[in-house]
Amino acid sequence: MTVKKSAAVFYSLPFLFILFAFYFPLANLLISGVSPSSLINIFSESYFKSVFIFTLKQAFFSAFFSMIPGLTGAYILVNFNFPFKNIIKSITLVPFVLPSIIVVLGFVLLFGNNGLINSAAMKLFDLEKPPFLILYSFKAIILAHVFYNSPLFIRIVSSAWERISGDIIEAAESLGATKLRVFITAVLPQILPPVIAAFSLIFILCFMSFSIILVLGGGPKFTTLEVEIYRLVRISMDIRAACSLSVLQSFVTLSFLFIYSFYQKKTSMIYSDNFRIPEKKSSSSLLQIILIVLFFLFLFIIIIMPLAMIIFESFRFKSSHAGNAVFSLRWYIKSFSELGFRPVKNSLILASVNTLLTCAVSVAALSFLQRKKTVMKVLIETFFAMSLGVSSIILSLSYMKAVSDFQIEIQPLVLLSMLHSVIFLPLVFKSISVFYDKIDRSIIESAESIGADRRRILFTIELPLVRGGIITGGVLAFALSMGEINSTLMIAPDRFTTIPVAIYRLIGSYNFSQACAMGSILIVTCVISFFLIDKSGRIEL
Amino acid sequence: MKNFIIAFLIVFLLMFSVSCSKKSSVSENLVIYAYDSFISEWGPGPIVFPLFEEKTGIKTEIVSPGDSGQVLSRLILEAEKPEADIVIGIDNNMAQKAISAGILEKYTSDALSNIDDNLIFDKSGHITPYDYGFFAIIYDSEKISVPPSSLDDLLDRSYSKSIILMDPRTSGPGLGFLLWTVKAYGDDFTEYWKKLSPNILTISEGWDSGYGLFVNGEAPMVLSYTTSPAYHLEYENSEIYKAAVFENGNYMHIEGAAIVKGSKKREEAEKFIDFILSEDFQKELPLTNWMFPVRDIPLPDSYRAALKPEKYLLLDSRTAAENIDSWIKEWLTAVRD
Repeated sequence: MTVKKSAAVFYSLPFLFILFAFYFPLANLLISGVSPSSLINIFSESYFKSVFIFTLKQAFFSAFFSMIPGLTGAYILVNFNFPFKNIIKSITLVPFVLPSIIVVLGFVLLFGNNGLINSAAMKLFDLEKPPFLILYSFKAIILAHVFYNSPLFIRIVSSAWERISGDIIEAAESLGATKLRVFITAVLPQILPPVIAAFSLIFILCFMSFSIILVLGGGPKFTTLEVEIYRLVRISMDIRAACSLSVLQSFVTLSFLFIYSFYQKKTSMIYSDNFRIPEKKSSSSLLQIILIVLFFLFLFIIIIMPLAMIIFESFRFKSSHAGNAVFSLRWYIKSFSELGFRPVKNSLILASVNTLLTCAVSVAALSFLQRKKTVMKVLIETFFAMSLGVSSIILSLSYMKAVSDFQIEIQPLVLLSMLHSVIFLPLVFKSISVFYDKIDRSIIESAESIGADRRRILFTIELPLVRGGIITGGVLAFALSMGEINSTLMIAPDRFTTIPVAIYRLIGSYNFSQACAMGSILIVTCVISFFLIDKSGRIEL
Repeated sequence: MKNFIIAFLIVFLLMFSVSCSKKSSVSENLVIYAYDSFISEWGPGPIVFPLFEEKTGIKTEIVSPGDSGQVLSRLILEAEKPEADIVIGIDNNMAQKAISAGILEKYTSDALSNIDDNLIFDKSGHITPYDYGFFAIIYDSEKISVPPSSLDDLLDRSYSKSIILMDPRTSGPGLGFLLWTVKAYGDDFTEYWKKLSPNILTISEGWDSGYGLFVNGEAPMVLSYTTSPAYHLEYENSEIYKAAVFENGNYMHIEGAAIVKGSKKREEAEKFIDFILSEDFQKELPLTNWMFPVRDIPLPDSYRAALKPEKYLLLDSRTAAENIDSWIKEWLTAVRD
């Protein structure tokens, strides 16, 4: 095979994959499904408009409030060295993998009316009623979304921040610019694309959120479009209407994505291969110390404590209701004797395949896009990001229908990996594309002019330059796949139990403490995995 | 890095080639669709399916496409090319939807003669009931000394933000409670909900998170089943959580199984339906599915905490099916104000 031909095959693979694994089953479902009349019906509901507006509003506020600690965290991770930095980096990503039910439990144990904070305050000040009514309100929704998503912000922004061009900063500094001025004129324009990328991703993720919103918000006055899709599938059995609504939802999310992509391509004009390895400071100004303290306080209360509550709960055992709780390994022993290592093994396999697939598809597609014009780039990027806006229940239904309609025999496990990869591809794609956009075109052109072929350019120039993006994207893909539950429940083969599925089943049969034990296993597995991915990424690539 | 790309290529090609093979024949086994908690490690599945195989020599293949709503969605999606022979978990609220969708076969097992006529909720002869339960407000007896004994009692001002309910759009018990209020108050049910609102702490999307909040002490009352206290007695040796039995009756929930239309294994499928009415199957239900078996058989000791109300409420399943969507809309308007 000639080089050219093999390149053509290579570049067609991501397109074939997304067509086969996403567009084909979805189109098959929508052809039989979408009916404009059912959409009109939905629109005519009096409460629909308020549902729509609320969905937008909570997504915006969630993204906004995730940005504040997110930016601070990225700044601190990039500019300062402190002990256990890598472990802390790994832990911050854990919320991202947790099934919503575990997050709800963690929040209730900490912030609830009977939670740690309130019961401690009641004892301390001898109060009769819980003093802090945190949950079951709009602020609880935002708090939970910040818990979930600010780590995503930190990841995406800090990985790009670490590699911003040093030239301009040095130039600005040598001209005697103040630190603030350097930040505004030299740093900010360069981290703006990843900031907007992270913001829009969080916006879209929160746009699709629903279980956290219902239970922590306090009920149906906080309803998102996703709840309505769920109702149409579950109660009304009106799959056509559900599809129609899902299409509408995708249009909204995608228009945001489209606008963002276009903006990103137009603004990120500063390219450099001379990324600054920032010197880590040990002495700091007062403002910096305050920032660091605030960030660690946030990290401790909002991220670490809910996780710690779950782990704490998993070691508690009461032999009778009135008795005192004692430290016990009972829930772990019970879990391992009932399930063995299967859930851990299954989750790890699924997450690894997903990581590999999404990263490879993204890199291949982005490498191809490198040589395309801006408009074309934005269009194709949107083409790959489409699945982000489609509700996972609709995607799972489309898989079921395709398998049934065409009588295709696919290993259920392969099917599930495909589905996971499709769902999470957009996130990985975006994290890597932020890096691809920063590659200096002139380097590639000069490599081409001295006769380097595409493959050589990919391996020797592009990959090292986008390494940070691959690590970020890979960690995200791994995390999301570890925590995924909806489509896993619908598509997974018999007796294929992942950790989140085990948690869901345990809670369904009253075993809350044992669910916390499985949750803790998930947390620990993820921290170790993130740590290893981060580490291996830095050495190998 | 090279290896990584090559590995991806191989995985991708493998997936593609595996994917392209057409299904050669129908499954040899009896294919059973059930909701997830039924097949779960802690549900009846791991006990009853091997037992059926052992007794009849018929091999089974168990598929769970999610909760009971998702099971039904999948069957409707596959209506033209059915994969399943048996479906487990069609309840009295969904029965009419399944029957009108034309995805079930009729079958009347001889063993139905052992069963109370009131439990046979599908008079058209498609669905065979296997267990039932009653929705109830479960309360923490350390915090509530005088339990409510009617829906009206729940409106008491002293219960401000004390009740955890579930959303009827996303949860079975949630839907059950909505129908309960419809049955009890008729067209005035929205008025009831408006008055109830201040006493509701939250309405969760599923039973699991709602009940999780309750056992963590967030509120002294939660919507669940009358069998919930039996769990706490059996495994935690605690009788602190009790079910409130209401004077006017608790709303009932009956679950059934049916043969799927298009099944090529009619004979084996009939054997399975007969099996779910047998004592072997029935006696496993109380401690795994946490429901009352439809056969009148001895119950485990912990079931002394699981009350069977003398009176129960139930809407006709046809009326329910026709109106659920509009009731949910009215309910939404009432609780969102």
